[in-house]
Amino acid sequence: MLCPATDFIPAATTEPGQTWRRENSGMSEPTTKSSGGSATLVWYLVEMTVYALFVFAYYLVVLHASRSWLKDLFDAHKAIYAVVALALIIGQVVLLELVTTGLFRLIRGNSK
Amino acid sequence: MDFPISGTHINPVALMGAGLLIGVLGGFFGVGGSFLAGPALFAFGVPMNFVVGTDLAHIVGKSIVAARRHSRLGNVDFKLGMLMIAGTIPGVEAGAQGIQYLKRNANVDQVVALVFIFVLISISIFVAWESLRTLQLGKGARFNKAHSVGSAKTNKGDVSALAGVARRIHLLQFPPMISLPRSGIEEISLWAILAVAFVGGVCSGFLGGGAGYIRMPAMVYLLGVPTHLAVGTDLFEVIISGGYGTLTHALKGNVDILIALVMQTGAAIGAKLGASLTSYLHGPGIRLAFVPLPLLGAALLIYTLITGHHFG
Repeated sequence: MLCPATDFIPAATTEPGQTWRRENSGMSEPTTKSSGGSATLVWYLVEMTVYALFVFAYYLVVLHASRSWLKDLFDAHKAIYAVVALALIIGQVVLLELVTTGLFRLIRGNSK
Repeated sequence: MDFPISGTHINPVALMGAGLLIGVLGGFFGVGGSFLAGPALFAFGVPMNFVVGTDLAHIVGKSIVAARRHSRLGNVDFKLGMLMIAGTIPGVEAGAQGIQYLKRNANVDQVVALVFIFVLISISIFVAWESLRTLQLGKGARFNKAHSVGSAKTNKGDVSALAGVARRIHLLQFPPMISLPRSGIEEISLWAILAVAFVGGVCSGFLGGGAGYIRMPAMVYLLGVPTHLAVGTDLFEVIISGGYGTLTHALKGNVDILIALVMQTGAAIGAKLGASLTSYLHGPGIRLAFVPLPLLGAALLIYTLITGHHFG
């Protein structure tokens, strides 16, 4: 959840004079142990489920299919493999970031 | 699932789960998460040279997400990050050459695992001692002024019992002297920054990951960078050092990119959550909460070394 409950913070580890900076965080109100908190948890689980399904599909289609190609590249052309490896991990991060951000906005928009 | 590049068989769900957990913790503490990712991969049965290279690749991706978030929160000192790159890259290469040497001449698994255990335990003990001392020493205005990290404008109330060490390092006059206004440092020798970056780079190249577990404490205690800025700047630094480390280790045949990609799918969401959590905790609080994590990684390595049992 992008608005974690303040209950998660051990009291002993907070500093004197240190208060939560909501204005800097760009996040929503902290949740409380109320029905609002339960609803938040439900939407969090929905988000996680949709994300998990997406990742599973991605895993099946992309990672499984590219396995043998990457192995051949690793064995035969280390230099190309190195560049492809870096490009793949950066590309995947950018793609996943876009998808998860869009997904979160979509689900949260619908929940409101 | 078989991962033919490293010749291992790992359950991809376990790998994604590990990535998620590491993403949350890494995003929160501002370290790449290699203090857990490395031991976890080793526990999954990945050979140590592949653990090092693959962890670096995985950390690059994860750090891009987390660093972007920290950048939005204003937690990145880009000037400091760019300067540190000059020390980090030679360090990463030195560490990678060390792995190559061990691959040819010794049991790379055992040597790297033992060094990893030593580093993780040492860091936990040190951070625990410093954080507890800071929290115990006092909460009065006099203590806060004498031990504040960075300037009053930048530190967000961050204090450290070892702030005096950083101040003494600031007094060292080895030119060229650099000013880091974002971190509240009026003047510091470039060599001090490069030395910290080089040591972090060696750890990154030799043990894998971004080595934030050593760079972040060094930035706070030795350079005097406020903790929240050390967190964000370290992540920025990890993108560069991890990118170079991935290339050099891939060229040496130490990267199984498929493992990194599967792990990263879980880490992407975890890093997002973890970075958000840093808005709730500052200074010694963050550092104290960090303490058990390297110990967990060390325990995982010790268990795998002793039993030879592999998870996943």
